[in-house]
Amino acid sequence: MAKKVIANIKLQIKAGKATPSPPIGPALGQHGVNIMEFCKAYNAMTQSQEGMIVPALITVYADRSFTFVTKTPPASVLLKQAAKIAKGSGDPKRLKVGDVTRQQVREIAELKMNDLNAVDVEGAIRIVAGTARSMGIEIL
Amino acid sequence: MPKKGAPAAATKSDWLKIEIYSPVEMIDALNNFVFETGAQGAFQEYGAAPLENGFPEEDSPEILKVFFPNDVRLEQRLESLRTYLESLAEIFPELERPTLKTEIIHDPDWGEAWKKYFKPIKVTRSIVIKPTWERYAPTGGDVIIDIDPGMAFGTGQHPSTRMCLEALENILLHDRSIEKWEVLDVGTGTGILGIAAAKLNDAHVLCVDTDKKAVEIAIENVSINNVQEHVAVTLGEIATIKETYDLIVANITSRALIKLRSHFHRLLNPNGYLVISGILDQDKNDIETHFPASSFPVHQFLAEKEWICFVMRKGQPLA
Repeated sequence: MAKKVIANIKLQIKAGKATPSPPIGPALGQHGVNIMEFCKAYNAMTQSQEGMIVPALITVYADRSFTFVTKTPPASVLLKQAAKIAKGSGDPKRLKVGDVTRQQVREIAELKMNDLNAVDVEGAIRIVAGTARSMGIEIL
Repeated sequence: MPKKGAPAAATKSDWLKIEIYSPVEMIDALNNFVFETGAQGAFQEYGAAPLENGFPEEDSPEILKVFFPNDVRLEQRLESLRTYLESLAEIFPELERPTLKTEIIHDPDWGEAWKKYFKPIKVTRSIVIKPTWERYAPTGGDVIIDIDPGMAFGTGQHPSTRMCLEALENILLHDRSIEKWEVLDVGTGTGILGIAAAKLNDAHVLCVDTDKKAVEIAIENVSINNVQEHVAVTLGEIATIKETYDLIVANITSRALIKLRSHFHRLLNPNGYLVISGILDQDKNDIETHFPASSFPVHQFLAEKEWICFVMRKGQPLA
C-alpha cells in the first residue's frame, strides 16, 4: 500500500548550501522531518551546481519519512542570465534593468515547460514573459 | 535566550516570518526578489493532496513563506518588499493585488519536532543508537550510543551513517593486528562515529569538524556517552593535523572527500583503513577515479538505497 502523504513542500534554496536555518528549518521541522537528513541528501545531490538556485519538491509521509526531487533553476535565474544582469529591478514598473528577446523568452519557456503550471508552450511563454516584466526586464 | 524579566526585545534568534499572498504569475519573480533581498530561500506548502507535476490541480492562491532575521536590516528589507509588491500591482492591474502578512517568531525550535519520531534503533549487529530522551533495555553484546543530534548530522538512521557504523564494527571488532587503535573522524557532526569507535574497541579518537555548531554538539555527545578520556573533538581543517591514524572515517560529500584524498593518504599509517561515505551511487565512478586502487585498494564496498560506502586500505603513494 502506498504510504500516506501528509505534506508537499516546494523549497527554493541554493544548491549545496542547505542548512537547518530558514527556510528549510521551518518548512520541514513543523512536519517532523529530520532536517539534517534532508540537508545531507540535498547537498550531496546538488553539490556540482553549488551557488545555483535548485528548487526541491519534497513529499512528507505519515511516518515522517520523505522523498524529494530537484528541479531545474527557476525561470527568473535563466532570465537574468539571458539579460546578462546580476539582479532584477526593485521597482519593475518604473525601473527597467535589462532586456531579452522574444526568442530567448521562448527558449526559457521550452526549457522550463515541465516545471511551469502551463498546458502548452504558449502558456509557458506567457508565464516567463510575466516573470520578466515582474523583474524589470523588457522583452524586445 | 532572553533573560527572565527582561523586556521583550528582539534576540539574535528572532525571525520575521513573512507570508506573501500572490497570484501564481508573480511567484517566480517574488522568489527571485526575496533571494536578492537577503533571504536564504523561500517555500510553499501544498498540503497532502497529490500534486500534478509539482502543482496543485486548481488555481489555488499561492502563499510564499519567507524568513528574515530580526536585525537592523529588517525594516529596510520590508520596505523594499512593499515597494516591490506595489510595483507588481501596477504592472498587473488585471490580477489580484499581492499582499503580505508578518509575524515575529521568538526562539524557534524547528529542529525539535522530529525528535518525537526518533526511537532507539539497532543499526548493526551490536550498535544501538539511543536518543538521550528515550529508555532502552540493553541485551548482551549491545554497544549503546546515546545521541542528542541537535542541529548536527548523524542519528544513525541515514544509510551513509549506518554503513560507516557497520564498517567500523567490522574493522574494530575483527582486526586484531592493532592493540590500541588511533582513529580520526572527519566531519564528525554529532560525533556518532567517533563515539562508536571509542565504545567498540576503546579506540583513541580525534573528531574534527569545520562547523562550530557540530563541534559543540559532538562535545556534548562525547560527554553524555562518558568517553571523554578516549575522544577529543576539535574545530578546524584536517590539513593542519600532523599525527597519523590506523583508521580514518569520513561521512561527508563525495566532492569534499575527493578534495581531501591526499590528506587522507598522508594521515594514514601504512596499511591503515579509510572508511568513506556520504557518497551517492551516481558519484561512484568519480570516487574510483580519484581514489585509485593502487593508492587506496578497496577492502569492502557497501551500498544501501542510493548511498554507497567504501572501506579502503592505504596503498602506494598517490601520483
